Amino acid sequence: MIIKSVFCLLLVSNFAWAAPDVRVSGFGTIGFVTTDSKDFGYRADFSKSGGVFKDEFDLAESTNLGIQLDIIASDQIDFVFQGIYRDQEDLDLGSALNLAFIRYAPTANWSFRLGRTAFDLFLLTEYRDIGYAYSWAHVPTEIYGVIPHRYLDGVDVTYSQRLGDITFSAKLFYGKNEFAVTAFSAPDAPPFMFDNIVGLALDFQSINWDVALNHTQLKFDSQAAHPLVAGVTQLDAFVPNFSAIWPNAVDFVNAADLDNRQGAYTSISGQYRFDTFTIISELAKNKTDSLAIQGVRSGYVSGIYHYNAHNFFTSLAFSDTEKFDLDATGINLPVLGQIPGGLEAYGASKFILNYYSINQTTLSVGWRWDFAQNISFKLQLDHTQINKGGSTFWQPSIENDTTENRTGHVNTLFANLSFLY
Amino acid sequence: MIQLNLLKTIIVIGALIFASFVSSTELVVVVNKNNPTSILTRSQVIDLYMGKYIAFPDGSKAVPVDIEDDLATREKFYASLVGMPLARVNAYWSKVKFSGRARPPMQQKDESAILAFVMETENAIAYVHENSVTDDLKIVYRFDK
Repeated sequence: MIIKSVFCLLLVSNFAWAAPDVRVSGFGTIGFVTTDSKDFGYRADFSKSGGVFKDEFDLAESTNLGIQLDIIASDQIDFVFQGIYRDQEDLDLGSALNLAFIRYAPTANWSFRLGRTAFDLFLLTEYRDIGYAYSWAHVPTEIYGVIPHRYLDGVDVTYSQRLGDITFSAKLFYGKNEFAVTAFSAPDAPPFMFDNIVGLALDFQSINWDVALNHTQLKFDSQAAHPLVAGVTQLDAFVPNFSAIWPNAVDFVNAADLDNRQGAYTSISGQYRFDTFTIISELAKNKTDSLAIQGVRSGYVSGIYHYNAHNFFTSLAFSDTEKFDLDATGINLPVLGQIPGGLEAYGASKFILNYYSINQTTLSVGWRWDFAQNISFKLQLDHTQINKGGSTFWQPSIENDTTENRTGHVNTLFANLSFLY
Repeated sequence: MIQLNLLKTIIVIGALIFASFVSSTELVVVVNKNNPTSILTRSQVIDLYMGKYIAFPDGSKAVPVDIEDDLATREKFYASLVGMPLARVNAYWSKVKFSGRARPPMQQKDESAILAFVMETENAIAYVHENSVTDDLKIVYRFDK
């Protein structure tokens, strides 16, 4: 609805402004990935149903192509449209349209946007697909892998001001979005919707340093756990003494349901630029009032050495998921196994509790070579240690395998060619 | 003795001509002569050219201008301003532009086009060689030597 409004406004504006300035530009990455693991399949983020295993050479996970249209109607009003192909699960106009908004900027201090804008959840979320924009071959998986959502359908207002030698900006945004989410090598990736998204992004920038604070609250719109809630409610109603077999089962599955629950996402990030060296870091925390995602703490620190057209970097990233221990609630599994549907309900509960579990640490080293002003080559090696109960980012080699507690390590090699045009 | 004085005179005149030549080819940041801005700090010029706060100190919107065809001049300007090669400047602008935050400076083909644009646009700001500056323009920022 909002997107259609933007297109209507564009049509109206054609009558109001005789000769708008139209600029076409774009970006892209041709990305190659391989790993040394037959157990843990690499994927770019939670929207990807595929996985890259040992001896496989993949081009789909990191490759994308984008085009942007800037239509400048006046010095106060402009339209931005951006389409992107990134190996979406369902490629259609809705999923390919990454930006489609009208901006009204009456003064240098104030800017209002309506339509589809980039989701400003964490520091790099807005430009995670623009490979040329950052030194690494990919944004840190530990923070960005779990939330694949790219855009926001809604409104935002930004206030910018200079405070001495510091530039300050505050952006308040509201809207909703959806994006494909999948795990456990399931063949499909259904949309996961966020409603009532309200976020605040604060930026402080000086010549040498930047600091950003982001906080977003939202409501989940997901029916994924409804069959489990219905099934366990039936078991509780019809199986005698079910509460002795699975204590508080109905309370548990209701508490694990994400639908209509609140989520809060917070990050603090910063970077400092020395003459030949840049250090960048971000810490993030995700928290919900559902047992399905109790809390995720993640972060990274990266150092980049600049030498003419070459940039050498190393990064350390981590993610630590707080999990609800279902087995500590006194479930009598041998007896539950005698009840038709009992073990299925237990398995589905584990599935939901493990869905967003990422416990891992990644050490990366890499090189970016800007061999032309708009083309760069990147080579990056990641060594990831996957810890107990936190392997969901990595795809299992068997479809729909929800085996818990997969631990191990993976080496992943990336070679990217990123460009602007 | 006369020959020695002549030699000293030639050296002094040569040094003055060379200094004048070096000075005239320095880049300076200029605005229209009717623009109320008289001076900018490096931080303010960075804000204007990196899309952080695109306004003059009095709060009025600015129109920064880049040179399109002369890459050597553009490279020199950004190296002096932010200490980055053009590839890193382009990387910076790719994240600002393709995230929909701001537009990069408009481009004019060459220095004569830039001069003409600034002369007819009161809120324009541009970088040009100092020896190109006319009475219709006002220098608001000089790079430290």
